[in-house]
Amino acid sequence: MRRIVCTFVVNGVTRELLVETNALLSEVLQDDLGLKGVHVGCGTGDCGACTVLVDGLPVLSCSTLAVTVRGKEITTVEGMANGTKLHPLQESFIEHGALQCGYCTPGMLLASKRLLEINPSPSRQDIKDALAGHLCRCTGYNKIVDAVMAAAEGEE
Amino acid sequence: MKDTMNIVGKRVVRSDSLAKVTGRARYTADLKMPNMLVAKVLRSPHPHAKILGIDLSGALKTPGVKAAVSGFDGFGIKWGVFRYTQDHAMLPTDKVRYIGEDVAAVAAVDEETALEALSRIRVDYDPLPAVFDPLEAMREGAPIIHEQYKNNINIHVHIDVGEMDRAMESAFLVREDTFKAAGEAYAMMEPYAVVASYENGFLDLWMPNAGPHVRAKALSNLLKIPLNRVRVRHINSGGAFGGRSEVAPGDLVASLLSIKAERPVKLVLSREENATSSRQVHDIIATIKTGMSKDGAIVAKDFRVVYDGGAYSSTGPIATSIPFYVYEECYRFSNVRYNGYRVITNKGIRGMYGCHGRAFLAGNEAQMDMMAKELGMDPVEIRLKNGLTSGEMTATKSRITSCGLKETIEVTAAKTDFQKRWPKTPKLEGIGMGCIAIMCGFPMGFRSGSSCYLKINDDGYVTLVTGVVDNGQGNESMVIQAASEILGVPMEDINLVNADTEITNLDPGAYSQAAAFVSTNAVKIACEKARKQIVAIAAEKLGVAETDIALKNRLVYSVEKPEKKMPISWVAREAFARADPIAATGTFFPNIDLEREWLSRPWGQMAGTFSYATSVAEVAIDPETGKITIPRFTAAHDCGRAINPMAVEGQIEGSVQQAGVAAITEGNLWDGCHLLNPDLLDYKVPLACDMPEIEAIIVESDDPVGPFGAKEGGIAIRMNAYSAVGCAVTHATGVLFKELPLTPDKVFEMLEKGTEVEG
Amino acid sequence: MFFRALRHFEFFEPKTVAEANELLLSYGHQASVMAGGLSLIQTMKTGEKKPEAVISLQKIDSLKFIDSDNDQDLKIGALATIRSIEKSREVQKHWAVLVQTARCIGSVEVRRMGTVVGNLCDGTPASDLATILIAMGAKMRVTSSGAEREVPLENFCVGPHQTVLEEGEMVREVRVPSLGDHSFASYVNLARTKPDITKVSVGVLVKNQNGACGDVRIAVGAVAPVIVRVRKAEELLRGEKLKASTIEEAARLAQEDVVVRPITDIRSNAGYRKEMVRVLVERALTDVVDKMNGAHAH
Ligand SMILES: Cc1cc2nc3c(=O)[nH]c(=O)nc-3n(C[C@H](O)[C@H](O)[C@H](O)COP(=O)(O)OP(=O)(O)OC[C@H]3O[C@@H](n4cnc5c(N)ncnc54)[C@H](O)[C@@H]3O)c2cc1C
Ligand code: FES
Ligand code: FES
Repeated sequence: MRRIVCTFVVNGVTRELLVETNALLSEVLQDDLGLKGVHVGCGTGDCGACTVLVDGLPVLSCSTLAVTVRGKEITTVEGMANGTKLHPLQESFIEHGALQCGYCTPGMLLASKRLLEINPSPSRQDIKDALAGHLCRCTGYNKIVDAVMAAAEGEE
Repeated sequence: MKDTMNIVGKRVVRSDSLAKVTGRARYTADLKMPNMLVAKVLRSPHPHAKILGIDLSGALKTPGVKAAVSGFDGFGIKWGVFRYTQDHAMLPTDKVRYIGEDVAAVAAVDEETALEALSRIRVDYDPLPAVFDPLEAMREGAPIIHEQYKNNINIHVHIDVGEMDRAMESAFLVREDTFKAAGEAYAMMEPYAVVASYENGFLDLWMPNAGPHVRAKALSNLLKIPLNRVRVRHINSGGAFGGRSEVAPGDLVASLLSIKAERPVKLVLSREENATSSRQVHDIIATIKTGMSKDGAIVAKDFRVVYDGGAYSSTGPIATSIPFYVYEECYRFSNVRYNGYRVITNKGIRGMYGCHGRAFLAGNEAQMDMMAKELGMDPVEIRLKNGLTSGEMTATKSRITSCGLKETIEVTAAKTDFQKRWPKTPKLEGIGMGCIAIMCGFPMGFRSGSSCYLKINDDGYVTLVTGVVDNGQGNESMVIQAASEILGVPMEDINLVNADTEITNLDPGAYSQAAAFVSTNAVKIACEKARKQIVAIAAEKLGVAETDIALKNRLVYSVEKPEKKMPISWVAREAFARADPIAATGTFFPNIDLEREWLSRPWGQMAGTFSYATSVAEVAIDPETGKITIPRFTAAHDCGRAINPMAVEGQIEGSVQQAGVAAITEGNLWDGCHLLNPDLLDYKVPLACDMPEIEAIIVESDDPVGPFGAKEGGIAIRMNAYSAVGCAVTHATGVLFKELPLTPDKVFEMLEKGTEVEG
Repeated sequence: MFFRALRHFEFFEPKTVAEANELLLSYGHQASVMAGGLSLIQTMKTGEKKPEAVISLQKIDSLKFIDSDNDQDLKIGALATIRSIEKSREVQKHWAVLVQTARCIGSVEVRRMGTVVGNLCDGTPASDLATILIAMGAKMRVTSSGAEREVPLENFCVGPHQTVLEEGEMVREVRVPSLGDHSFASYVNLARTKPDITKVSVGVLVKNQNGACGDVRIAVGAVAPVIVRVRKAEELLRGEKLKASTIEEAARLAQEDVVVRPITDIRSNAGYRKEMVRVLVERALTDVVDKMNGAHAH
């Protein structure tokens, strides 16, 4: 097989696409679906910028064949807000200045979302460990950790 | 004035953050246009080879290929920032000079076709002897890489002030050491990408960049298209750090392809291409000889610094000079000789970097600690003794007009209990201090200034037009914040139109730390002019004195009788009716000696002002493995005034990572001409879990000329965080560090040396 | 307009191991097995691998297991992710050292996507898991159409990224012998940062025989083209009490063992790596002693 008709539920919307088997998930999301929040920083699994949620779990879209996640729910950073209401993490990132160039931000947000789901009151170290696969060249991570801490505290 | 500010000085939310947390911010790779083509670049497999011929016919015959180009499709023009550095054709026709150099390119309907076409391009090379080590390259008989650079010396900066030899001879204490540092990777998270679209004689370009105007100028020259037809447009940038200040080969490649194909063309580099074929950072070997008097005053400095420049000039004269200048802007010494050599080698091109010069700067600081120790002084005393103060002149005659160096030293020393801990830290624990100054804007000829245009629309909303560039630092938010303060409208009422060469005027760009001091000053001046217009009309309408008028919350009102007020929008409309709309232009040109030239006249006022900073690092070393941990980092920055303290802190924290922690992890590794770690797996950008606890302290010296007193935010820490680490490791081991990065194997060697010294 | 980093290939998602074996046989060397795909996709991007057919195991539900109930061995199916090892209560309880090792690997995302068997089949001498699993005496269950064989993990790799697998073969599971009450294992590694690729690693398994060493296995990673055992050090320890001086001597023997022939590469230099073999063997053995004493105290 070289092309497969795939259904994905992307940010809550069902999308049916003819996908080439060699297409990476990041490519389909960026090129075919025009999702600007999917950023490719390395393409080799080292930076985490391309992270999306597949059935709620953070996955590196640059290292995933799109066809292998057909039928699944995919959440990109565009799907984090509920309509115009931002996710508490998004609010917190804004308020704490947890971004500069913004390239790492989608991956940071999605990985943090999952972290808070399984660990609602993480320590700073827990956050640093959960974000170990996410490089940021700008912020020194301090304000990112602050933002995740604050979002966790706000939710309790 | 401080106390009366409403927005400046507050931790405001950045103007670009909503788009960035929702995924709506647009980066170059996101751009899509009808009929757009994919470009791919064929790169040199040789470090040095003559090009005998390039045959594109195979590529052009590939179905789906719409254009193929090589340097033979250009005008044979070589670009250089300076008249004497014009050596870079971007697509060479004579020879290739490093592995990964752009040689030819294709544009096709999809990536697979483009790759297939690349494989059908025939290039005839005649390999030449190559040289990779700068010291070897300088020797007689080494292969010459550019005919015009004798002994491959691209740039020689020679500075000679006072009577260095005599002063050194009569010094009480003299010491000479050599320090090395591997060049770094910029490792901006967004790999370089460009979209070029040529239509009806107009060329539009989008790419992450730090200076759209210089880029447009270079392309205008290379393509022989007038400046008003080369339009570099605004787009978000995923980091730059100095690596995106200059025109890139990809800019030319995409432009040529688009001109040929008459369709938009997109080129996205892989991480590896970004590392090998965009800019890299200079490797440095610095020999530092220092003479001190008995009381610890620096009486003489003799420097010989070799910079591995890679294959082309880039911003060579600047890069060869900056480490020296930031040092002389920090410390007092009147007898100095500096010989800086930038040497061409068959490796990737090196450019300016936010953390440029670490071997030289960290070396100076650590050596100073060793000498101070001999004189019975500690690092704090010696720095206070030699640090410059406001009103003094640097060795090459720049006047310092505001200086919080002393305060930054004192506050970091106090916070870390430095002087108490220094004499008695436990074994293999160390504490170190690094200081530096930095110029806010430096001579770039007529490009050193900035200008801003603004208009107030009939609904009271503001349009602000400026060349200011944002690579993530928050420059856009900063100028909006400044305008908001002066015009009394909320930040969200201001639309910023920036970094678009067809609309905005010249600006230094996100280069030379000029955005706060120069660009924001221009914005401030424009806003103040507009404010005057508003005040005049409102005073007349409200029947109060102009001096009684204030602007806030979209209103103009009387301070004495606040009930007398009117919306700014009314004033704007009234101004239209009077045929004198509220619109203003503000221009700021810093006090720079324009006669100054990097090589021929290295003296005179360097910049309008200088910022200062001190970093303190605390380290612990594993005695068996040599592994360093950095538990705590304290950094104080005299930024003049923090327009947005949160942004300044963010810059400080980023600097601790990129310069401080990087001092133990980051460095490009070479096997001759091969870059061994062009990825993010083996090039170690520090991770969250590598980061120390950081205390970021803002010191405000209130610059007399800076907008609201501001100078620059954060770069100064980038230029001293590694010094703090180098000094701390030297302190912990008792052995002067000699090479960066301080990876465990190197520290292990230092430890062994240390025991030899002891035993 | 499309950006596609990978070349075209035929893609198969067999539902059973037998089906997978058949596909593997028919495509021979042109086929690549894909588990999590993390390593495979990278090698396809760089062009090191250009398979005509990619055979994904992801739809073979029978490979998704971590099993330790029926007998003493821990059986890790070809689709069990590194993260699932880390999260498994059974593994946490009886093979804690594997959890600790798993946590040294990459990031949460890498551990969630990468499989244990994929990590072992990738065949890098820097594999954290392979180092400890060789010390623990793990075995690979290899299947092909109509046949099945078992290969000790120690003999599985013949060079970097080279395994003994033949055309048509794949790994069904890896088996890890139970530690029982008397065996103690330890894993230590040296990397620039915690989640980084290992520069040197040491895995140790010691069987406690009345306070002395019974069986001992010491595996050292990232110092040779394949992970090696340092047998001279093992021999020295056999039958001995783990005193500090003995440990020191064993560590020295390990460092000097001829099989330890590290190279200077981007991650470290040879001399330093050799030194670190000594330091890490000493640390791992000391850790084992602590664990023995801890178990004794309970
Ligand atoms: C950013 C990053 C960091 C990493 N850090 C570490 C680290 O610190 N330590 C470490 O040890 N590893 C590390 N890795 C490697 C990682 O653990 C492996 O990539 C992963 O476990 C491989 O598993 P997979 O399921 O994705 O394998 P795949 O990519 O699917 O397969 C890997 C190889 O094994 C073959 N294969 C897979 N399954 C079978 C089978 N059942 N039978 C036969 N052949 C098979 C494939 O054909 C392929 O050649 C890192 C990887 C990345 C991307
Ligand atoms: S782009 Fe996927 S991890 Fe970097
Ligand atoms: S904000 Fe720039 S990479 Fe994180």
